[in-house]
Amino acid sequence: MSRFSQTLEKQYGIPTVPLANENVVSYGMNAHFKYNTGIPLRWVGVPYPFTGLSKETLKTYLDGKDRVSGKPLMQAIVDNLTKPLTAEEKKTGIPPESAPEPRFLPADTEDNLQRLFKDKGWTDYNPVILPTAVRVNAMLKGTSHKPDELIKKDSGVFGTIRPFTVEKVAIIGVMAGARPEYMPVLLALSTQVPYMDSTTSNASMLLINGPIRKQIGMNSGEGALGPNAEANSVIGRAMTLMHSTLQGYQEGITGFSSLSNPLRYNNVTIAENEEALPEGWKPIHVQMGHKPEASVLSIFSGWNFVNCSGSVVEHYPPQLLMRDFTRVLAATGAATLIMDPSVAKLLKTAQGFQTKEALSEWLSKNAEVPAGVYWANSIASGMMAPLGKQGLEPYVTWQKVSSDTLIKHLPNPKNIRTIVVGGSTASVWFITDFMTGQGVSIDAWK
Amino acid sequence: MKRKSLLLRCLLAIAGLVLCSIGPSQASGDTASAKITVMNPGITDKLAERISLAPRLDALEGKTIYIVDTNYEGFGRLPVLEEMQAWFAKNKPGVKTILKLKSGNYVADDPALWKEIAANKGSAAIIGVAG
Repeated sequence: MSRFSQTLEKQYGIPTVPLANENVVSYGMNAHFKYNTGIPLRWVGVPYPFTGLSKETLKTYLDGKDRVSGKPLMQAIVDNLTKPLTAEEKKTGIPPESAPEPRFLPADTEDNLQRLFKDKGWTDYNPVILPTAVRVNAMLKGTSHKPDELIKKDSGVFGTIRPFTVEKVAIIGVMAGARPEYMPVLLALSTQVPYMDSTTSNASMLLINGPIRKQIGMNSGEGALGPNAEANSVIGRAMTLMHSTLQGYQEGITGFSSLSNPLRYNNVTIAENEEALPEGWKPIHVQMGHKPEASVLSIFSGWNFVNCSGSVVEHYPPQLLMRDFTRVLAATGAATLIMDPSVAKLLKTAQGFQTKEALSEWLSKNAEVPAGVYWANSIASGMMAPLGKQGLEPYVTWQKVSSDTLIKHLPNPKNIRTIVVGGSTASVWFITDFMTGQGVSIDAWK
Repeated sequence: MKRKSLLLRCLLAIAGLVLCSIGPSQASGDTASAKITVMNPGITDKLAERISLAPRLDALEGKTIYIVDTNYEGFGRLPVLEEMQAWFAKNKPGVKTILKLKSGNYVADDPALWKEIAANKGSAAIIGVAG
């Protein structure tokens, strides 16, 4: 929102007052101002929520106090539009450079350094392996890339400038407990910052395909989604540490997520069980257009991770329950199934789905949700309803129909993906609304 | 056999006591106080170029203020902004307010609207609401 104010203030010379809840205001006046916009907007803070309330309650908001100045809210708006600018508010130009972060930290005891790393927000609040030069140098042996090679500049929240090198990724690898052979995966992972964040409870998921899964000992079989393998555990943790160090995400400072999401502890790190795919079912990276022998990392983002709550039953084929469970997904038009090889085998041999794509097509044609339920989801109303207003189908039609009309809410089968992973002990699966792009090369970072 | 077993137990017990007495205390004493140097995971943020605010108005009387709804909900105007417009009508009748809905979702830019506000001599804008 500050972009809109910035345009009016800078380009057209029109004074503005942006309104938001306290957390957004705090971010707008601090980190976003310092590192993104550079314009000291005169924000006004309103209580939250501001939807679904009676007129009387909303009037109390306007009669109440601005959460920034403490003045009556409407008076604060009038003052912010009329009070002359201070010298600070008139400042222009490039500010002096911040003192650069030194390559080494001052020598200290292990306990103090562990505390410092936590206080700086560089960890997941579990102890880390302290990155001594010896350990970092050993980690760097896992890649042919030079330590001072720049990987990315605009890695911060909303693309703020936070340049980082291969050496920084090696430092994070040490902290997370990685082995040097994980470095190509970690470097590929680092190229994808900033990761998606939201004030809502979204999360990320990592998928690794190709030969590197076996080369670094990832578990794609029994217990694959639990804390049962070093590589899966450490790589997932490394993503959390990259989020806080490379991206600079600090809850309550550079980002706000009201509840956050427990999936963020390990970011659902998966190696697809390519060896257990039924014949004709391709690994995800091959579906994306990569060669089978390529090693590829895909980052998914989403909200919901729904358990099938037991194994497949005789009287209700799995695809029917998958169809039913799509109703609780975020209304992004995307779904990702994560299924045990035994479910994939059943779907192929008993239900006739010869490929993953065939299953996607079937779900796309058969998954339905009442329009009212679809539009009750704020992802749909906030992001898709305006597309309908701009004339884009199917959103135009979906807004016209009655709230109990069933709509096919996964219109594009290409946005329905299937990952096969697990040990074939039970015919279990998850359905999620996680979505991804085309995957990035891990081999490029060997 | 019994003697041998007793002797073995005694030796293990003594070894255990020795390990207990010198192991942890010495180890923790050494590492807890020793200072080490580690590499810094921190990254320097680059500060953004400063931009001045636009000059403020002398007064609002006789001016036109746009109240811009960013379309946070996706379905149109937020009642809180309609209440704000009503507040101006009641308390600042000399101020003309125009309530406009920004096109697109709440993060999408709307250059045509900013141009329209400037072209129509909008004196100021209130933009909201984000949550």
